[in-house]
Amino acid sequence: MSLLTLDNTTMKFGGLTAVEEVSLRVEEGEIFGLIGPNGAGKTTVFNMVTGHYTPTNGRILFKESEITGLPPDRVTRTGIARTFQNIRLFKDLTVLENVMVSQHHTIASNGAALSWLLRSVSRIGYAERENEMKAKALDLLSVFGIEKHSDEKSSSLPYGSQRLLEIARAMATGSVLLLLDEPAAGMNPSETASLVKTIRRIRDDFGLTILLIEHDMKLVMGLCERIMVLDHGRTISEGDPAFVQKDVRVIEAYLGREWVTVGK
Amino acid sequence: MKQRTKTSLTLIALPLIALLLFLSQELLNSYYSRIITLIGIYGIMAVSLTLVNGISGVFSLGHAGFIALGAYTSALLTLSPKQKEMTFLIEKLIWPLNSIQIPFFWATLIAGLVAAIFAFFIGWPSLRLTGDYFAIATLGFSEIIRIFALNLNSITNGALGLKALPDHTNVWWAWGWLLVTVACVMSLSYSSFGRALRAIREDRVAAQAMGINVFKHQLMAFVVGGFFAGISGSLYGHWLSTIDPRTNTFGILLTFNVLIMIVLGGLGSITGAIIGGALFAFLSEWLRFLEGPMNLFGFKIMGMSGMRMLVFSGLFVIIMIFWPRGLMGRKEFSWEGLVSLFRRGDKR
Amino acid sequence: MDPKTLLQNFINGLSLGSLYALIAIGYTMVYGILRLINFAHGDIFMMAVYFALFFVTLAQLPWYLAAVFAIACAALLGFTVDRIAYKPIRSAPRISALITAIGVSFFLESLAVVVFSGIPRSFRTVFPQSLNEMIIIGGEMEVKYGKEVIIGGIRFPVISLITLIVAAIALVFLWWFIFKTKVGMAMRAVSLDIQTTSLMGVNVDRVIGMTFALGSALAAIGGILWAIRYPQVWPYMGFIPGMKAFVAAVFGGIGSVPGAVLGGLILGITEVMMVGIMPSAAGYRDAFAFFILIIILSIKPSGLLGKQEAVKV
Repeated sequence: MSLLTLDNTTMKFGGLTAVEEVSLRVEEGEIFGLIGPNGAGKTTVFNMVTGHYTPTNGRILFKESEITGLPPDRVTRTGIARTFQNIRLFKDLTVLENVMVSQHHTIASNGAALSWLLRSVSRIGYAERENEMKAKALDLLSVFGIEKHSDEKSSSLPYGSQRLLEIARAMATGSVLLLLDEPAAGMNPSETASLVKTIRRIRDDFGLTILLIEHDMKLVMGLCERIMVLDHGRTISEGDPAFVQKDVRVIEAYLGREWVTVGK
Repeated sequence: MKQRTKTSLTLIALPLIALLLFLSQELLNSYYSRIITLIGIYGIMAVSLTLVNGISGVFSLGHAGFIALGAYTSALLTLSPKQKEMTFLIEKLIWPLNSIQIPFFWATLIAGLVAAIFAFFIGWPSLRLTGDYFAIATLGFSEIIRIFALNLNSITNGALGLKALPDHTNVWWAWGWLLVTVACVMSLSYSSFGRALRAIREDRVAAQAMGINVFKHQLMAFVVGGFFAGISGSLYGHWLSTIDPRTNTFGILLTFNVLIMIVLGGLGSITGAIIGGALFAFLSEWLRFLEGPMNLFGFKIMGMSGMRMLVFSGLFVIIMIFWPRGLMGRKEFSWEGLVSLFRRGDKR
Repeated sequence: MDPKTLLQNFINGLSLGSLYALIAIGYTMVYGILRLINFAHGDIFMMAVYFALFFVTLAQLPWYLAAVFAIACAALLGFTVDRIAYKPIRSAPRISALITAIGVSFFLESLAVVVFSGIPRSFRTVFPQSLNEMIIIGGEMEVKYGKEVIIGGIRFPVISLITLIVAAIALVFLWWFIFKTKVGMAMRAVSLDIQTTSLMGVNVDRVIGMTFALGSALAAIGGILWAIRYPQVWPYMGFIPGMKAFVAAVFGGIGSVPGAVLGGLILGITEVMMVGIMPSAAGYRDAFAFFILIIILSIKPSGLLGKQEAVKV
């Protein structure tokens, strides 16, 4: 059974079709890349999976159960977390708090809401739980090497560290599937290389599955085990890096017809 | 600073405050001692509103409605059946309200619960709306409550209002409940729940993506805010000793006054809310001179009524434009902060 | 309700509704451009009435001149409020803008209390008595203040008819202004996309100011007509009509001028009908508008003619 399945999903916004009949499967433990020119619909796919958009057609399954149309917080609680293309950290909160927020849902789930509210006020059993969460959060931050900034406001971090924090925050939700939206955007080559190693490491050490969108081809080809290429909302190629690189359709989509005929 | 030191400092500070309150009642004349009580009440109003508007980032304009609910509920419970018999001239008060009378503490508590229940049912549909719309919806509900109070003769005595409320509110009730309010709201704020609320305030979409049920959390904050608003209403009604729905005492003007308090003190700061409440009370009293005859550079100027509100709203707009963080911004009072304030002078 | 009373109520409701519509247009235009609920709009309505009152009583102007001046002053006031209070916080978060608008509203109200005193004044002496009389066709003169029009037995006050006519004229003028003038086109452009419009060389701030002025002028017209009908003038008189007009704007689709008109008319008609059908519920008449508001916001927040705004993630 695949961890994540998109079954013929389509996303229409009025007259505009952003995603058309895209099907994909992500297997457990994979690092899967989603690439394509700008406007191809990649982030829309993410948004459908995470519940921000409800697909106009098609189904989405996580661990073989249907998650199509669930609200984003429910989707996260089933085990899928994401980062954002434009960093969306909680600016006024510290680095540590950003990560601890993601742990909140593990203690404040549905039915217990009221009792949890009362417990917040009365502080019964609070300190222990809080320290536990704090320790876990610091551990996670150290994986990315940013634990020394834990008490600073997240907006004060350098750009590259903010991107790492976004990943740490997503991981803190306890999810098994991470959706990374352009994690290397704005990073220089050495940061990117370091990121590749880090992503591989967290996949190995934490048993995660990773689905990522990227424009940096070196990263994609070097990191991803399987790749799907979208263009104008449709799948135009799928396979391992070697295959996709040579695929005529992909070259055409990125560089235009002339390149193909010229025989590059 | 060690936690133990902080706790000890707090434990020392509390009796000191209690002593100051005691002295205020003994030494000041009744006019000023009543102001001290009022500050306590304002504090509860402001802290409860800052939980909703400041910490959760949900802009509610309906606070006066909950305060009014609290005032009416507790008044109907503390007035004696005989008084109710005499006051309800248009229509008789319904049963069982017309025959019960309970102690102030329970009446206040029930007032809070009634307000909380209303907050739940008001918040449920309203919180599905975005920022401005939510604000207007809560304003709408607050007005509906006032209009109903003006018309439900058999429950609220309609336009006649409730008069001669027993003089229960004193400095100890007001500040005692303030302590409870601050303790609860601080506890909430410095918990995972509080973190979640702040995250929602910063970025609602991202908070959802991190597994937080935004609606539920905002609703809970709204209900807690409503609860304490109700409590403040009970105290306020008994401080005024009259509840008159025709004037603006429990209408949008009240909401605006509480808004002034929290904007002055710093939107999102609990300490700021209390400071804002105190400032508002002092300024209100001090500016009273504007409404009577004045002696300016030897010229006699006739004061004008309504000047105070003019100054307040003008000040409010100026603060919003130039200094929207208010006094405390989002920071809270902390023992470390206080110490560092003094230390800064040493480091020369 | 018999058909005669029905028609009477309908006409009165239509007339009341056109007042709401005139005020609602101001709300909707400002919201369409700035995404700001201009709380102070209802107070401009109130100020215009005071202006008219004082132009007649103090400046001894004939009523038609006073009305024109009052409208002009209201437009200027609206423009000024934007310049002083809203322009500095254009880039602030919406909540701050909303809070500021509330502050401005209270400022204007307290200003009115201080300058004009809180004691209600009467508008009755200001404008010609004839406007408030009932229209009679071919009927007998009954009581001095009770001349009535009986067209097939239907009676309504002159002012209802005047309101409808004036409102219609104002709306035609508005339509012409928005669609047939350059400034109007600029306004439409700004409401669609502020940044691009400014890149096209349009002085966006001036356009916004003009929008405020135009909305305020319409509210002023509505205010004077309102005061003829309900002659009590006091500083807080703008609050309820303002809120109801806002409800009308939301009901019709906030940001849409036709929506505001439609919303205003429907609200006016249903409000009068409600009181006509259930006279005992008259005290709740104001709450009715708020109920409509909440229902609309819950079912279709974009209103009758509004568009759903998608949120980009």
